[in-house]
Amino acid sequence: MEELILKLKKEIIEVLNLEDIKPEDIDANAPLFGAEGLGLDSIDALELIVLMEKNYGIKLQDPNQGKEIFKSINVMADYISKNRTK
Amino acid sequence: MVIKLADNIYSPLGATTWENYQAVMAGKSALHQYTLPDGSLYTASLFPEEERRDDGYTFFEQLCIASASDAIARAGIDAASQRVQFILSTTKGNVHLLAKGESERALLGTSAAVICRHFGNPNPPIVVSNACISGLSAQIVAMRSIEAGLCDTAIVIGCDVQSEFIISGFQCLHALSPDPCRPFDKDRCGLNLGEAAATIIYGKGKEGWVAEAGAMCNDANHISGPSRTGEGSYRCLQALDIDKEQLAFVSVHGTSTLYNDEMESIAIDRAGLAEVPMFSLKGIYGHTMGAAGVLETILSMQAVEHGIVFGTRGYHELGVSRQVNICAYHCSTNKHSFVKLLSGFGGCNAAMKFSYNTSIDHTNTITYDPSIGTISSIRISPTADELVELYRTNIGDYPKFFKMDPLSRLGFVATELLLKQCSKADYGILLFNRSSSLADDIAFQVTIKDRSNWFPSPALFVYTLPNIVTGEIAIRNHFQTETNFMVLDAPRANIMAAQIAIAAQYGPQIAGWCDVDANGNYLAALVAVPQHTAKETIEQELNKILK
Repeated sequence: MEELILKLKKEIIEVLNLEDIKPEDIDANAPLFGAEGLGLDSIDALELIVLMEKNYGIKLQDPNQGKEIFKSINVMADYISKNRTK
Repeated sequence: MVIKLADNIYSPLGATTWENYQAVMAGKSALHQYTLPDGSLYTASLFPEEERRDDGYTFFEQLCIASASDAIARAGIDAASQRVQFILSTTKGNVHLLAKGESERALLGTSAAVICRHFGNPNPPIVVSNACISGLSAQIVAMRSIEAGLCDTAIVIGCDVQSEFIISGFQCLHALSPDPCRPFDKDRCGLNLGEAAATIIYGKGKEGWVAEAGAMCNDANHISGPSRTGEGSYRCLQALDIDKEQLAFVSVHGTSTLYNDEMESIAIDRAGLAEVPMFSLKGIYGHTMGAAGVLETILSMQAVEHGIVFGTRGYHELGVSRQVNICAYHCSTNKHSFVKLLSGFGGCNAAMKFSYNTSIDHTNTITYDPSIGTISSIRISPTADELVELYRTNIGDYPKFFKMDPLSRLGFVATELLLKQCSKADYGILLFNRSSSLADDIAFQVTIKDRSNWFPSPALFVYTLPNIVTGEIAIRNHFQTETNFMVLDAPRANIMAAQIAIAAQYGPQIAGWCDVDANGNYLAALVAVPQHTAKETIEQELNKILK
């Protein structure tokens, strides 16, 4: 799981252009959205949906599912490990 | 006063305004269901595949020419006259050509020049590319250009054609409905795309349809999400000075997305117009993007002339938080004015008010302040890396900068540097360029190039509109007035200065050239213009910084 969490952090930094942020700066328990944590917004959420499908073969039909899955890196990694197809 | 001389709608439902009006009255629609490469379904109003040919003129240009030809013939004007100005309203023009590696003809200014040449017009055309409000922005530009004496007649052509580029983009934003859309309905689940060309010709006169007033306001909230308070649309409606007793209806945007329709209901309620009948035409035509503002204005004029308020196809039960008066079915009216409302990506909103045979003179007077002799300006032409360095050295407190596309980064940094020299104000933003959003368009095209690796990027797609840079600047600075974007075939100081001076009639402007070309050449040459600055003052400064 630790390996997946680190990989996920690197992927998110790259795909969301989080300049000046390193994997170790991201608290895996902190919220991804909102003022706390990484402060991502709705376009970032859509980009994370693409990341899930492209890198892990998980297709989310309803963007609202993302609200639960993208709560934090830990929640996201847990969901990926249980549902990934690649 | 500025009046309508003639019009045309060329859509899958008919080749003239009259054919389209009859089709709408008969409850027809050209919406059909199609499949995307990933197997997902979408519904759209498209021309038949066999008509979609690029020979000589592209399909997009053929539609523009067919629509404009009919309107010009009806107006009985000489389109080749020097006193006639062509204004093209489009978001993506020939963007489908990028898939074939053709970037020059994909440029909006190049395509507009081809259309203009067809009619023998000697003036460089102006392309208004202001996301989904382009059709109203273009009509506002036409109205003001005639009022300011820049031309006697303005031919406004609104057109967009659909392609995998656009459809996959909206699909990755999860904005498309697989079924016919249902504006304002409780079960609405997204929009349908559409394609059409529509032309409206304006000139000076005293009778007929009068373009009374127009307003554009930015939400300064988000580049793709509508304001939760309907701020920009509300401000537009306020600016029109509406007497609701005179209004037959409000012809709303009504895209059928969850957030747009909710936003519009809030804006209309806040403006005190909740009781006024309203309708959306998206359930018939889909969202025709650059054509929407023109097409929906023309049909609304037809409705008033025939004493009709259109029904909203697909609407059954109110699904927005405010008790607005959505017409489900066609009904009658004896009133002679209406408002057309639109909103779009980049946080932009626009509204116009039209009246039929009004006795009140609505000519707006133009006043220049000769005491404004000098204006602030800036010119930067960095490489991509130098631009990042400029940001880090001079700004550094806006991490969102790194999420922006090259054009937005350039406009953002240039504006930040310019504002350091200027007094604070609620500036309008009017930017021009040649390449539109080409750098980002090419980047997005890469994500849909390979069928086995087909992952259209939402973060890239939202920047495939040039006016997003104006939204980014508005958000950063909380500018909530006009934002507009025009594409020209080259940096022409005289045309830019004339349009900036007109915009500056309504408030101070941050304006000028902001371009990133296909080879990665960056150039921003901006001026900060106080209200009522004269064209000559602006042109003088632009000539200095554009060289």
